[in-house]
Amino acid sequence: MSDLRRREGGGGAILALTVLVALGGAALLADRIVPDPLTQNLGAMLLAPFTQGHLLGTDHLGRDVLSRLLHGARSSLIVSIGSAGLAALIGTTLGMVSAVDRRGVLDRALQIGNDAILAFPTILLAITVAMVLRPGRYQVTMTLAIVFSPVLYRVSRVEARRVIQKEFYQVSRMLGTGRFMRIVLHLLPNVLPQVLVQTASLAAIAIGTEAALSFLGLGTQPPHPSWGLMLSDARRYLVQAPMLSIFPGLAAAILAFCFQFLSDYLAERFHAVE
Amino acid sequence: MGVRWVVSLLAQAVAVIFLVATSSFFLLQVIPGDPASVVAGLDADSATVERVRQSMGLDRPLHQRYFEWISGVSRGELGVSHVQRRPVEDLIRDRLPVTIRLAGFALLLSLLLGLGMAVIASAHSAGTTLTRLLEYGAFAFPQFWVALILLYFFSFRLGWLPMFGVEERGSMILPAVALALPNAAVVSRTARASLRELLQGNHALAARALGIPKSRVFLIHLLPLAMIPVLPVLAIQAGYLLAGAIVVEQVFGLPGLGRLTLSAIVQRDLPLIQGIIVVFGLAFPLLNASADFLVGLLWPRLRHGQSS
Repeated sequence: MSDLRRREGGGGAILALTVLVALGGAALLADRIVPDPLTQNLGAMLLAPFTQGHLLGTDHLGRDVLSRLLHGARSSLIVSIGSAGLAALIGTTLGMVSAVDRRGVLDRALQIGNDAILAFPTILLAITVAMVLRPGRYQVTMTLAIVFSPVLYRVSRVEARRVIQKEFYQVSRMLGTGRFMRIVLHLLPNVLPQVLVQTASLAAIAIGTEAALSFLGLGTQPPHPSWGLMLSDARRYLVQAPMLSIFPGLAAAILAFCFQFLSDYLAERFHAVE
Repeated sequence: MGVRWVVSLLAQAVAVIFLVATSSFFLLQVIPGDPASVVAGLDADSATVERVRQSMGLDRPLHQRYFEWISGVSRGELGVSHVQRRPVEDLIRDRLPVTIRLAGFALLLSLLLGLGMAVIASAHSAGTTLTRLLEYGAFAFPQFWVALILLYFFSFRLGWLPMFGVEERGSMILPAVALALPNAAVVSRTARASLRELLQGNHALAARALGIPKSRVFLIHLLPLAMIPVLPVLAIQAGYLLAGAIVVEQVFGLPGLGRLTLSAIVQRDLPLIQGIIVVFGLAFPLLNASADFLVGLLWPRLRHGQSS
């Protein structure tokens, strides 16, 4: 029964991965396959989906919605993959360093810094950084990387400490393997599964956060299309053209869903291995 | 031992607050743009700007301003808003009730929804699928988007609930639902995992062996125990609720802390932003400490080894 379940989950994971790759590819090739997302046509404003060659209709400036969605996917993918990946790099490195710190001073200091970052609500820190660095999608990526790294710091520190207590690690230490090599050879491979699980989940969170920040005017800036920006425009036409509001949210949900699903699948896989 | 435990929880909270207050002060010092020239206005000459700078106290050295700020924070004074020329703590106090009401309502809602979902999932296998779908949905859809869609259907289309503001009855329902959904998913996930473990445990087996009906074992014997991991999660989520309120308040036009934050940013009102960051920073460790305290109070066995 559980075997069947796992295989079902595998199918779902492949589907999620396929959707991610397809969306990523479409976002990359958006310049070739859809019209320019910035071209305005005031003669064709707020068109309904499936009219005049606009598959998903047009917005309040007559810009093609499908084209804006695909170009907006770039912002979402840059921010989500970039921030989660950077956070994985920072958090995992610091987490493992913290775990091997024998005197415990660095470990303590890192933990306090960790708690201080965790004490800042994501949005508030993002807002502050947006003010310091001017808003933009790369700034959002950096901010979210900072916000997310405590999660990975915690996970990798706990996992690394567990490995350190194992015999093979102690034997390796006694045999004279250097600290750096011990981290790379023994800690990293054992920490990585949980890091992957969390990274995928953080990427999912980043999608919604990027959209929210752009919605508030603190994330991706025009002329770069972003789903959050589309929603903040569409909001004013909620009554006349509700579909304009529905599409970007759906797109964000699909992307976030895929990342989250991958994360859960990995978690189940790695748990089963243990 | 009990006193030491409470003191250590409080000490941790104080340390984090101090760090947040310090970092918010220095972070906002490096922001480009001169607050004095913003306050003085666009067409002010340099002498006027200098006078404004002096009246705002910005001409004094950094360390002096920092110590003033920190000692003020410890007394509950957060400075004076550049733009509105009123004490920051008063401005925040005016707006806080709306946000707290919203977040509190949403917290309660997410607890009820989440536990309900967990119970349904544990009771029936079809329920598990349904709950997992609901959880994914609640995670994946952006909060403010759900807010927009709820607004469209329940206010525009059906006309059941008011659209904007706080005056009318029921005006808190839609914002609270939008705010509560992702949290409900987190609560449900946590409770579900802990229920699953408990159901396989000796505790459940013994209770069943004594002839206690299944539903009673489930609701009376296991559900309270399943709450242990939920409480700390709820504390963390409560902090996120406050942050999520910034966006949701914007969608629904609620005059809470979120709107205050956004206007402070637009107007570059540094003391106000600093003050808001401290208030948010205060909420997180206090909520965490109170969750730890509550868990330790209800289940004394768990008091030790709570620190990490």
